[in-house]
Amino acid sequence: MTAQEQLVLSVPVKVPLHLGLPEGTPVAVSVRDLNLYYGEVQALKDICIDIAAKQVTAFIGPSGCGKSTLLRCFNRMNDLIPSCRTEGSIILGERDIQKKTINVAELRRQVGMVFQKPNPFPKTIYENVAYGLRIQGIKRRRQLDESVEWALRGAALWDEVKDRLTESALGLSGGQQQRLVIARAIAVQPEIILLDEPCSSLDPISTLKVEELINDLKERYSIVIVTHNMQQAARVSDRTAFMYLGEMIEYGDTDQVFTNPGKKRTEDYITGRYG
Amino acid sequence: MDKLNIGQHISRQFNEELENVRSQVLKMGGLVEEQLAQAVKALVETDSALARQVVANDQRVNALEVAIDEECTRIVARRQPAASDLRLVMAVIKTITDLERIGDEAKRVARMVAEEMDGTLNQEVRQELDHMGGLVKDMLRQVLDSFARMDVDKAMEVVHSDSKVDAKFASITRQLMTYMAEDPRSIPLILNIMWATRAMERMGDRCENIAEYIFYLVHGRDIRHTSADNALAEVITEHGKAG
Repeated sequence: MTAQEQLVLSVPVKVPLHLGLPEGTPVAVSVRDLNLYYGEVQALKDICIDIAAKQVTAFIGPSGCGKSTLLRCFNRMNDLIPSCRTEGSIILGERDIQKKTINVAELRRQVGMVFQKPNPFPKTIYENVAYGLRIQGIKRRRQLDESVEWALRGAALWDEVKDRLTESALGLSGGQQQRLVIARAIAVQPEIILLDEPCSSLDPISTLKVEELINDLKERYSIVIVTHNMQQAARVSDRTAFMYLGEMIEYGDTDQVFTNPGKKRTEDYITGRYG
Repeated sequence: MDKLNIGQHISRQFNEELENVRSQVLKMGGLVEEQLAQAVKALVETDSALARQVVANDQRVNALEVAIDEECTRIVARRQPAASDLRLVMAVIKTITDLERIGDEAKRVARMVAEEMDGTLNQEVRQELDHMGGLVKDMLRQVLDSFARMDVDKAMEVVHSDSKVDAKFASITRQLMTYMAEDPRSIPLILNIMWATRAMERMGDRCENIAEYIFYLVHGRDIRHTSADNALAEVITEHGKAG
């Protein structure tokens, strides 16, 4: 049985749709009653949220509020932490990705992730992007070339690197490295892209380029971004979720959240008041 | 009173900037109030010296508008305010525009004051103008007061009282038309009075605008071109649900 079949054969789960989304919005991920513990400490409390498909969703909140933890649940990165335990369900497509039967490698192909610090492999620019494709078993040079170019174009990096594909990726600037990592993520054609503070180590110009890229990418992918930069959340996202001490305090339309938030705690946070 | 918790930012400097811009608006409001009172007095008492003073003082109002505008731009550029802070800055920018226009209307009233009016204005008209001026002054005072206290209920009273000013404007217009019909030679002067009355009526509208900005500032909802009462009822229901 291939990985793909194994996924499809997982038991479909019915969930009430559109939690926190306008009626009729296609949903990429549904989280229901999610509790997460690091040992004795509860890091996420009864999280229920629907992430809209082909939109940008921003998670904001103070350090330690659980936003990165929640993001990492979407591709089971938390599995790597031994003391981590979860309850509840996360429905992607029609499967609960929390289930033991899920093929995690395949899940991570579907749900790509980009981290705070650009982490290109110490290989050539070309090989960085081709890496995931090779793992998928693609060997034909021509197909690889096409996919690499497509991904680099998608990450708005092609024009800058097309003449130096065989040079080391480590020679790129921070902003270019981050876009290369995004290219690597989209090369395997994921459905969802998770961005964990993707611009926090970039200069303002590179930041704007990545933000521009996020805006382009949402035509094809559902994007979830964790950011400490509230103006960035306001600029790039369609919907914003505010978390505090492991709870989902408010989730709504970004324009609404930044002009007239419904909860006082959200207001205090985004305006920089004492909570 | 600090309903918007302006003083609770982690940045003390930001607190001061917002507090400063708010008090500047109140200062500007006070100045416009004074201009309005003096313009009405000059009109009712045909005091052209006072009228000239009102015309001259208008530039102080204009200068304040420019200064507050600049300060708001600075705040937007440096702080990128959000939520209630953003609404405060937006409401201030709009409020000072209307205050400046009220100042202009006061100047207009003052400009209409001419010595020759003395013979034209009978006691009855003087009283009516004085009464209308009083209504507008009340509106302005109340709206500034509600701005200072972020008092939406009081702001809504201002919205309602505009109809009194409109009614007064209609009745004075009727009266002045009668005089014009009786003595066509008085038409040029009476037209001046009519313009002054019209200016006062516009001031009432401007006060109503400011009251609507206060509603936006406090509840985050734009009630211009909608029924204020319906909007208030909706907000109360929503808050009831949330609580």
